[in-house]
Amino acid sequence: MSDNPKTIEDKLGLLQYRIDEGNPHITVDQEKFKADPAKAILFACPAKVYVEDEQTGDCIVNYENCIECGTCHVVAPEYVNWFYPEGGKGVHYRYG
Amino acid sequence: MDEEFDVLIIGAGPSGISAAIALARAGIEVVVLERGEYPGAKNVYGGILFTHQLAKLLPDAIDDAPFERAVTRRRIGALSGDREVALDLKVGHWREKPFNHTMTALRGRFDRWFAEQAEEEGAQVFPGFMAHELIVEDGRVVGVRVKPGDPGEDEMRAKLVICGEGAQAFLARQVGLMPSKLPQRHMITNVKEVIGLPKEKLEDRFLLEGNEGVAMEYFGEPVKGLFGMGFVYTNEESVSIGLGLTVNDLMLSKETLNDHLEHFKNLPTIRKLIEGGESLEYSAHMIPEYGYNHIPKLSMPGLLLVGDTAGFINGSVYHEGTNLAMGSGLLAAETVIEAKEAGLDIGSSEALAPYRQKLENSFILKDMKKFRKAPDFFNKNTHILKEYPGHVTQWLEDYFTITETPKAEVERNILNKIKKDVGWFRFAKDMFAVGRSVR
Repeated sequence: MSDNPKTIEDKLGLLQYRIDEGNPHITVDQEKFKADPAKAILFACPAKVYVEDEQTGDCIVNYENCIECGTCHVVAPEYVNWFYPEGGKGVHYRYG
Repeated sequence: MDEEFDVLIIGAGPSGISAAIALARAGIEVVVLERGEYPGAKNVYGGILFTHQLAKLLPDAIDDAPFERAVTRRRIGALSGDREVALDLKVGHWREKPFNHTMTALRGRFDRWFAEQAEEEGAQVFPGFMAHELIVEDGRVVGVRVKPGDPGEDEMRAKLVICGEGAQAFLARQVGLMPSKLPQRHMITNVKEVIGLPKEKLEDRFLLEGNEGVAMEYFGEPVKGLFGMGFVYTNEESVSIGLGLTVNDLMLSKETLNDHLEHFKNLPTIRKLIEGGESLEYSAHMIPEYGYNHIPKLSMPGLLLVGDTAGFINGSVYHEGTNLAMGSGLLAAETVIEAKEAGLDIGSSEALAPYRQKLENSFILKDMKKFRKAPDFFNKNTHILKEYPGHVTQWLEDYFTITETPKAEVERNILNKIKKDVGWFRFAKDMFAVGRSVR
């Protein structure tokens, strides 16, 4: 299985998306994110949508990676505003 | 859109489509909104479809639906280090119809087929439409808004909305049928990979003949003793392998679910099962395992909840969801049909009142009630899943380790070890408590 993807980044490469360019379906309250010592969304999201900017400490939101499980807003409802992408947009599972 | 439909269903999953088929068949006008590009494009689950409700609805489905394999072998194991102990049940005649109503299926194929059956019955299925919010007027749900924006625009109205939107339950939370925040201890996130394997190789590896399939589930090591489990299910030419954890335990673990999944895939007993396979898809999905004691309010005027939205999951040892979803869709439809026959306004409180009792009288809430203590029990007694897989496999390893030590002494040593590892009192208490949690 040496050729198979092991990292999240590589596994996302297996997926098809209909990206809603310029219309993110996720927003993060940056001040509340910075104030959260746990920042569990950084590892709890199975698609690495959330990455901490090393310089600014901001949460970078790679919404186009989202595989729509909803874990993030259960982890951090205080500052993650997550909703589904518009109808027909987002991840497009073929097997499920 | 100014017209008012009879019934508007949110979500073309097993619950919504079941309701749509039953309603359309009874001559009731029904429209299904699905946010995916086609039904199934957003739908993810572990991999086993329980079909007894499907058989009620579509008796020919067993021959026609795009199933993968019939599950003739179920294995529930505990892994610890390089040790594994399992209950392994194989029933030969489960390879014959109706296959113990336990089929593996891939939702991208199945849900699309299922929605087509609804269309054939006369339901209208609109993919690519997302219900943003419910429209509530004078305490009654009167429709949905399919785009964000001003009230009055892009609305679809109906006498009744049946909400099968899935585990996130945005709409149910919007109208207060459940708390605004989803519970971290009861929401389980699953990740899964579908790994392609040539048919012959897969059948040899899992000892399968013809349409036979296997469902393997593992506690302990795969999830590092946390509240969750790993699974391996066989499809026709692929394996669904994944694991799930409660959000609470995921947050405590400080690792990504993909790290947990890679750990699971590389365990000695698992690695050989998927060796040489080709990863086809990675997915994630949540399971609302609230348990009977925490299910939401199931209706309000103009609205009924079905499927995952209502938390209809029987976790326990059965891991059933799709059949509860389909069953709830059927009971929702039955409620509506009876109300219409009685000449009632189908969205009125009076019309919807029997829904809860129908669920209580069915396997759905009877089974959930039987196992009502389990979700809270394992949340409170975290040591059980953390410690016992290691202990039990070690005790069994000791019992079967071949040395010159006389067997009587081996037994004495194990009993002493049980005393030391757990203590007789706690061992008895734990076993009693586990038993109680499923009674």
